[in-house]
Amino acid sequence: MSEKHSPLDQFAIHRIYEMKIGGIDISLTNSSVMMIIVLAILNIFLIYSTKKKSVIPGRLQSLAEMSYEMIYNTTKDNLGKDGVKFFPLVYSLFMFILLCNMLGLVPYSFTVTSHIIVTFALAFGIFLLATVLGFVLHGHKYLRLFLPKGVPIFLAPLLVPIEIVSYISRPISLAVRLAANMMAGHTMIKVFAGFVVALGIFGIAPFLFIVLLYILETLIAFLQAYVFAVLTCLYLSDSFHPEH
Amino acid sequence: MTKQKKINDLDDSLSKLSKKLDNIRAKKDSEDDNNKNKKFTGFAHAFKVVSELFANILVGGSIGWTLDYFVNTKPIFLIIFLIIGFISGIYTSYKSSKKFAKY
Repeated sequence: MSEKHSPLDQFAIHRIYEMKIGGIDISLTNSSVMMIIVLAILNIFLIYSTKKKSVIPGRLQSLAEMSYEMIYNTTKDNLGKDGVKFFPLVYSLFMFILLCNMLGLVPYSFTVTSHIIVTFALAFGIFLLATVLGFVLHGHKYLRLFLPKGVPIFLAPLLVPIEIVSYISRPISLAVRLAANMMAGHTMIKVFAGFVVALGIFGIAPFLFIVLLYILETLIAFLQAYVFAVLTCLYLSDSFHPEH
Repeated sequence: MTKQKKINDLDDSLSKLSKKLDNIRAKKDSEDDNNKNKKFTGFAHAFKVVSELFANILVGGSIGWTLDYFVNTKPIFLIIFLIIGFISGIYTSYKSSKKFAKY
């Protein structure tokens, strides 16, 4: 029974509805249910809030417009005028991750982004897109990314492996940052929640601490989604201008 | 004649005013942008640097381990690529910090 109350128990994946197609397990798990909920809320929110299209936006509409404007400006600043065509991608990524993080903070729900495979799938998609885009736009000149102009040739054997390692580490750093932040925050909240019960009347101290932690976690949930969006823009901008 | 002149004067002052307004608007926009950037990017940048440092070492180590596994030279490539990963971690965070200092 003690396993049920482990701080890491909240990250366990359960099958809710078992499905198998051709020997591949595609069961509906609590993770995928949470993703479906996130997508449903996202769609309902955006469709409903932009239905009226009033000049003076109401609360919901101004929320939708604010998020749109923020990501639009970030995309335009980082990618320039040409790169704005990637805005839909960046915006959907941002909203998906933001809602996954935020809904994960609701008690008894499940944090999709705390699993490294989910964040890695997102990050690796961006990595593939940036690499293919770079080669399509610049051809073999894209490899200039690994050896910037003006670097003496005898430094190449040292610099090229360093640049390659730093290039490959991009999706991993994206994935690890998001997943680790989410997991660390939720584990910490659960550990302190255990203290509340164990300390009896003095449990008020960790309880107050949890309240503060929740505020911090809300900030981090937003910030991680924002960082993910900004870094997506940065990596895509490298495939637009690989020279520097 | 006087009417025409009056209209011209009005047009002049109107265009002057709109120029002034444009200037002020441009100034305010750029200030807003700067403030917006500063609010988030400090915190965001800290997360970015830490995870880059970590991920570079991880990638360097795993490349070295894989090379060792296939070439059968147990610790040599692992050591070399761990060092390369560490250097590239420092190098990447230095580069992104330099970009950040421009704001």
